[in-house]
Amino acid sequence: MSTELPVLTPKDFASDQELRWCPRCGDYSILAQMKKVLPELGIPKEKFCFVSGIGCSSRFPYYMNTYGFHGIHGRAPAIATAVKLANPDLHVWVITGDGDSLSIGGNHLMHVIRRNVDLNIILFNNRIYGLTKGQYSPTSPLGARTKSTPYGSVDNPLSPLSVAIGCEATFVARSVDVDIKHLKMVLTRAAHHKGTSFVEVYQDCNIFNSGAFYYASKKGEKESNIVYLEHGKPLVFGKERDKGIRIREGNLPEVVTLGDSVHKDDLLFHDEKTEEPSLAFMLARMRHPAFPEPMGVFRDVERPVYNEGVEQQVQDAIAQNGEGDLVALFNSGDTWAVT
Amino acid sequence: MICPDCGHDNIEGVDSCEECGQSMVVTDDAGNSLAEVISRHKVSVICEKAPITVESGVNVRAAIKLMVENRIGCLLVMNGDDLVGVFTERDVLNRVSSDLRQLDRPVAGFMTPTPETVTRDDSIAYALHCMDLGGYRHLPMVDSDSRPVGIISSRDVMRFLCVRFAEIRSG
Repeated sequence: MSTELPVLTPKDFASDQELRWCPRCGDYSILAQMKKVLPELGIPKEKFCFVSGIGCSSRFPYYMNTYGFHGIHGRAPAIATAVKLANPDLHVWVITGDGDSLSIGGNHLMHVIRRNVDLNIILFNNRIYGLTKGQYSPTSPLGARTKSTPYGSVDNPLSPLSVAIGCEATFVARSVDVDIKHLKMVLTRAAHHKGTSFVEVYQDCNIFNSGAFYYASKKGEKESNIVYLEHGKPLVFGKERDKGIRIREGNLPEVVTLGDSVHKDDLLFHDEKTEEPSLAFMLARMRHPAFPEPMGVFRDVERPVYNEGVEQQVQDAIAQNGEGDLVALFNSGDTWAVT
Repeated sequence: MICPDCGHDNIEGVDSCEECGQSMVVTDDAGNSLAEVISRHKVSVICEKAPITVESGVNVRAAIKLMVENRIGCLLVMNGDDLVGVFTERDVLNRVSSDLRQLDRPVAGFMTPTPETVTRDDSIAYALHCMDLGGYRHLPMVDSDSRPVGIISSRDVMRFLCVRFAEIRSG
């Protein structure tokens, strides 16, 4: 009898559910890339679990032929933590949006990242509440006119990556929905990371916030507006690959043009493995149009994993005290009868 | 064949996208819902008219004459190549009509500045959202350099919807 695992294909991960996203929504592309990444991991599909909150992106688990949990608003990180603790052999993915994770679920997001639970968080950032028809979100830019900000938003927007890095995330990355090869690479890297991997995906909501990321996705524009991060390589960008990022006085980034006076060796070289998160944080704060926005893996470091620490404590307690007895536990200590 | 859902460049003639599996069959057949139609179709489908523009220094009288001659309700106001505003029939009623001595003043003083715009790739649904949000009847369509290449009106959208609705009803 053969013990080899069957070779899976993207179709094996497609459920029979009708897709209910709007036509041309960026979510389709992210779903497609996920279905391509999972078969390449060599893991049986029953070992995956997708957990989501509320929002357009959170319909994702319905469309994956894996275990899944459409949770409550903002609580996907908490549910996913429990799923991972109870089932350490599962590969757990959290699918969330900018509103779900940074507004309603901001607290839960912070704690799952600081604990470094071994799961993957994919944040679909479209800078708007799509499911509820176009209210502003925590990532909507200043001045954004929406259904709930008719005179323009006066809220300073959150940068998802800055939040993640501020929580000392061990893996932080960014990609764009329609940059399919890059997105697949980033999702693959996230899948292989041990600990919490946090990926922000720029995702176009073509109904309520169309074109929010055209600067980072359109051919002819993106070359000047984004810079791809590669470990150990200088930050070079531009249509002619003639621009770069250099560190100036005050340890601040500046855009320079390569030429006689500036060479590639003068540029900032990316180091995703550095323990100190300052570089990743500085990169996360580079925003269009003042800077090209970095794409790729900002940070990839190792740290003890929460679920392994908890599991070790459980095993130590069993070794010291023996297997537990739930009935005995219920009847231990102070008990009383209610009449 | 660019997939409208994920942007993948497919070989011509495929039924479904090689990347995301979405149907590549044209979906404006009768039987599709209006919601699907306005989400999938881009504004460029209904933007057939070239915009009528006027320089910001032109006086209101000349601007109104231009609107009457072209049977339109909205002019795009330019400073050279830059779109700086729109001048509409609503502006005539609300800002000019109370004092007709203003007819000889520059249109720039009566236009709606920095108008909301759409691009060729935006969906009709997004254009409707913008119109609803701002209470606009017209939206300039601009290219990647923010230069106007067209204008769509609520009437254009209404006509598009009526045709599609009739197709859907007739099966």
